[in-house]
Amino acid sequence: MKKTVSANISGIIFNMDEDAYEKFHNYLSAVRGHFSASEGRDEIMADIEARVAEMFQQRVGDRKQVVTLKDVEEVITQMGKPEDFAGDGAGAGASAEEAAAGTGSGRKYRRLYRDSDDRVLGGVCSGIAHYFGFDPLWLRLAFAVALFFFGTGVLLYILLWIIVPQARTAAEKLEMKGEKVNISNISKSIEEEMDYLKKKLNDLKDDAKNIKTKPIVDKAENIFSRFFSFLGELFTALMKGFLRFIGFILLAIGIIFLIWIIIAAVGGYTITTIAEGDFSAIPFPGILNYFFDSPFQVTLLKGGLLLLIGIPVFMFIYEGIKLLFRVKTKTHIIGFTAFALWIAGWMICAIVAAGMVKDYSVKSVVKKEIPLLQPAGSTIYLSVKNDGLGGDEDEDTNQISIKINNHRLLYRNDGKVYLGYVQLDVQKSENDSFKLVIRKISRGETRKEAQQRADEVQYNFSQSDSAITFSPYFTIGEKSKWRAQQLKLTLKVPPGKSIYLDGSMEEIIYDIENVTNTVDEEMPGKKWIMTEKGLESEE
Amino acid sequence: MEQTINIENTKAQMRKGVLELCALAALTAGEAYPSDIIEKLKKSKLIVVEGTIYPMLTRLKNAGLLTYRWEESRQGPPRKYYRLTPIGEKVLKELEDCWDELAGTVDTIRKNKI
Repeated sequence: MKKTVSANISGIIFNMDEDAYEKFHNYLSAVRGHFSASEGRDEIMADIEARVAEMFQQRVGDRKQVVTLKDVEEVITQMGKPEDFAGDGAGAGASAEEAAAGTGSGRKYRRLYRDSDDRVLGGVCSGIAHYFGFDPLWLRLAFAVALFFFGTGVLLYILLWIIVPQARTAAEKLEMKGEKVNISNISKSIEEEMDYLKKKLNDLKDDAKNIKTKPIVDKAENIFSRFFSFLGELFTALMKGFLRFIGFILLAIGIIFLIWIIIAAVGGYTITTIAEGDFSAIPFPGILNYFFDSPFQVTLLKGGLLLLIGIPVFMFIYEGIKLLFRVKTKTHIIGFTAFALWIAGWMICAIVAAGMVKDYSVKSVVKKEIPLLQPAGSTIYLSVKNDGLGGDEDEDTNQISIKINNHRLLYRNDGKVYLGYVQLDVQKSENDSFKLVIRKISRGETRKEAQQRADEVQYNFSQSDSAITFSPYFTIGEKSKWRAQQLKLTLKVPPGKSIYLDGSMEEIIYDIENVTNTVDEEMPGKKWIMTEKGLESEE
Repeated sequence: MEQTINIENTKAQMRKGVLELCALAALTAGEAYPSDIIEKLKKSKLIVVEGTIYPMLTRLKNAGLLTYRWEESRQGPPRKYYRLTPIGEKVLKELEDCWDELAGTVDTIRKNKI
């Protein structure tokens, strides 16, 4: 069983098989494209259609009511394809020179197709070479060379293979080698377009002049329909140029991102720290191990991200090439497949994320009280020192720093990860000695896990008599994972004793309560004394 | 390869040159329907496919060499029956003279050469 389509050919209704209709429709379009308007295209087409109607009529009768693909093929053979018209030398507008050069077709610009007649793999190179008019050998050579650069060429070739349609029909092959697309040709076609539009505009003016002689309903209808068809054509002309431009932009964006993905995937480096606005290379796999449970999870996420980012990039390139080279495609398969894969990418990422979230479900705190050496005087001087970590990280190429809000992460080449989220509070001591309370906090799937991770947190500070030097970083164990570890310090100051906050302390002090309600930013650089009421500035 | 294409092209050029003459000549007997003209031209291998004739007839008609009238057809849509106009007859005469001259010249050259 086949579906039929009914078609009006020269005033006669024919029932055609769907495939026959498709073929015939394409044929007529190709023939139509062969002639220009100036050659009397409409009349020629009417003549040809009338003849075709006659031929179809001879082929259908009471017993055979439908025009089949075979009928269409026979008629096409008899009528001839556009290139046959040219070969016979009767292509109406074609000059002798054009016919001699074998390009006797009408105004047909080149389209990008794959040339299956001259191919090594998919005919991509020869197709592109046809489009730009050079020897495909050079392009093949270029692709072969690109093979040695991370296989970039392979990816691009496969992309083009998918995107660019093969020149199947004779008309498409003609288009493939059609009139060159160069500046003079484009300007010529724009001129023609403008002339045509001018003519339309003049018609419109004439109409406006003649309007008095026509009945009123006619007037309105005519003027409106003319005006809108003029607008429509103007819009089409502008859109053609605009679409090419858009195509170029899409293609450019797509290729930039493609290169980025290749570099990220091959080199294992990618660009992060977008929060900071500066781009620095980060050895991704190394850091990822601190965030994820297992290498499998990392692989899964990478696959998901590749789909999530790669599919849009692919579609950018796909649509870009389509618009730029005016490639015609009828299939929606690529679009649907891409969309499905993209959704799959989202799902993979969501699954990984869900798996990660449960790793953060339980919070555990390990508290440790460290007695300090009691200073000879009544004041302890507090400062922060980097120990060559962080701070001027730009000078040290062995480490990479990521900063997101207050969380600073320092990844060193020796594989250690330093986290910079140390918070210091100052409180009144219960007795008459200085004390430091360290709270290590971590999260995990279970309490045990969280507790273990909290235990693995290490923190260093040093004291020499009345000076305490803090580090702005703490480390998590080498085998440990990053599970939102935090380090909270509480310095207990006995009443009557005082502390001096060095300027560098601004980095770690956090919400220290004081009598004057001074904010953290304004506390360093001053001496503070602990009174019964609380911390008070000595100035 | 290159050469065969050129020869084919030359042949096509030659056919093209006389095509209009033949189409006009086919109408000397009276008015005719495109398919009739096509039959005559096809027999002499001047054209291979029918599609060739329609643009040419339109062109000749637009140049004022031909005119046509509609006639209802049992087999399908109405048909165009073409006939020569006085201008067409004049042009045909001119082309025939040219052909005679050309054929004579070609003959002379060929015989001299052989």
